Parts: sequence; C-alpha cells; structure tokens
Amino acid sequence: MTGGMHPLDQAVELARLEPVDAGRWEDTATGVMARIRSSLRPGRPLRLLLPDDRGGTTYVSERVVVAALRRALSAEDDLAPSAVRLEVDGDRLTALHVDLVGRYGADLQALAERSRARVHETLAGLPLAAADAVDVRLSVVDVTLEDPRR
Amino acid sequence: MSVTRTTTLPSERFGWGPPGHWPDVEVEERSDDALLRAARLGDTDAFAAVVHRHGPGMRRFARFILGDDEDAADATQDALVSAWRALPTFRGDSSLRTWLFTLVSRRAADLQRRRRPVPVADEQLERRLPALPDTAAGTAVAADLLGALRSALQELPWRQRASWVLREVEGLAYDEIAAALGVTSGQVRGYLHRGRADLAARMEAWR
Repeated sequence: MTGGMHPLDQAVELARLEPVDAGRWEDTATGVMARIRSSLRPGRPLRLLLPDDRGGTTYVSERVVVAALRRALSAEDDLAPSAVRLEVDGDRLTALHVDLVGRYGADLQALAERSRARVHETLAGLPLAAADAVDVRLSVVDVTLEDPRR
Repeated sequence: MSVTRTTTLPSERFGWGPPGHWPDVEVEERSDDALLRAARLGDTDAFAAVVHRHGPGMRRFARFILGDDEDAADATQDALVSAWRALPTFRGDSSLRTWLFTLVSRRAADLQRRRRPVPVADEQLERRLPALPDTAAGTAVAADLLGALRSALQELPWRQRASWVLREVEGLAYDEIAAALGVTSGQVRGYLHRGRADLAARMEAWR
C-alpha cells in the first residue's frame, strides 16, 4: 500500500527530491572544468609597450586582454559587456569592437562614454603598445530590465 | 506490497535536499543571462557557476533516461564541455537551461546508440513490474520505489522516456521539452500521455 497516493506519483516526488551524490557530482564538475581549462587557447600575442630589462619584447595574449576588458567593463553599474572582438595587425591591436548590454532607463550615452574611458585605461595599463591609437567602437546591442551584471 | 504512509515529505524522511543541492558550493546570485555573457567572454568562473547550477539536473535527467550512473556522468560532462565550446554561437533562442538539456539529451542518445544496440520494443510495454516483498520500510522502500521507476522508464521508447523525465522530474514546459528533443509540442503531449499511462500501469503493482 502507498496510502491514497498512486505509487507513480510517490516515485515522482522521490525522484524530484533525490539528493545529488556530492562526491560523484564534484568529480563530474571537476572533470568538466579541467577539460575546459586545458582547452583554453591564449589567442594572438600582442606587443606590450615597455621592453624588459634586457631590451627584449614582451607580449600579452589576446585572452588576457579580453579578460582585463571584461573585468573593467563589468565594474560599471547597469552595464555589462556581451562581446569583445579584436582587430590585430601583426602584433599590434588596431581596433576593438565591444558590444554592451545596458539596463533599461539608464543613461546609456553616459555609460558608453565612461566605458570608453575604462577601455583606454585598461589598454594603457597593461601597457599595450600604441594603446592610444586603438580604434575603440562601442555598441549597445541590448537592454535589460535589471542590472545586466546580475 | 506494503509501504508505510507518513505525513512527512520524502526530504524530511530521508534527509534529502532540494534538486541541485550539494554542500560547500558558494551561492551564485547572478542570473543565467549574466553568467552566460561573462562566460562568452572567457570567464571560466562564470561557467563553473553554470555547471554547478544546472549540472546536477542534467545528470539526474541523464541517469533516468540512460539507467546508468557512469553513462550519465559521461553524457553530462560531454554536454557541458560542448556547451562551453558552443557559447560563441549560442543565440539564446531557448533558455540556457533548455539548451543544456538539449545538449545532454543528444549526448545521452549518442551513448544509448553506441552502448545499447538492442532497441526497446513497444511489445515490452505489456510487461509488468513484479511487486517487491513486504520487508522494507523508510529509506529502503523509497530506494526500491525509485528503482522500480527507473526500471519502468527503461522500457519506454526513448522520446517518451525523455519527455516524461523532463516534464515530471525537471519541470520543463511542453515547448521547452519540444525544443530540447527536437520535436513538436504536439508530439510531446502524445509522448507524455502514453508515457504516463504506461508508467502508471507498471507501478500499479506497488499499491
């Protein structure tokens, strides 16, 4: 007997509440992230401004540049980056296309201008060669009702 | 078969938590959309949050439809890795959750084809589960009941099985199930109708 409840309904209830085996799940999740991290590619090398102590050239990978921009652009309330595309000539960054998502009702023009300043600060702070000459193009491609960072 | 009826929820009786629960994982408050945007820009921490938010449900779904925990782990892992690789091309036509179920469903179907070459014939649906002996109670009975459900599910045709689990266990809407399985909402209704009837008949022995 399973009382008034059909056994199938009771089994469904149990299935919905079945616990995750923490150890096994952690193995799966760890495996996923290990495979992902091992597959990361640095992207194109971009020349940094300053030579090292022996006069050699130092490069930073495209992935590092995108990560730095993502962090910088996510620091602004009501705005989040959704795509970053780099144009590179040899080992120099020449143009940057940034797609942004803003919160509906926010002053998107002001947000975009502050974002542009953050982009230039970030590039100069790496410090990327010819950072001032990079053509930065920002586009607000979507709006959300809530802060897009949340 | 006798099962003691109590007024407590299964989670209280057996110490189970809600779906997706596991300890020692920091609560991530960002929405799926916010995590998706960050992950698309290479933020592996954001993707790890996606993995921890949706992975347990994906694995539970895979285990129900594959009937094997190791296969379910493989299908879930492959699906999540393929999701990471496909992030740049994911257009957001469906929700992140539906898309992830689509991916794990495909991986599970691939595994099913490779590892279980004998298809389940519709005639098998006439078979009934045997009633289990009246010796267990509490957790053991719950485990047996769930085991009976798993066995019964394995005898349903693939899409019936997947539709039923996505609806009844994971709580997806008809159109989400249709998107995940690449069928129409009308077909999903049919799968669910037949699946419920077949499962109810099989589980009848537990009354």
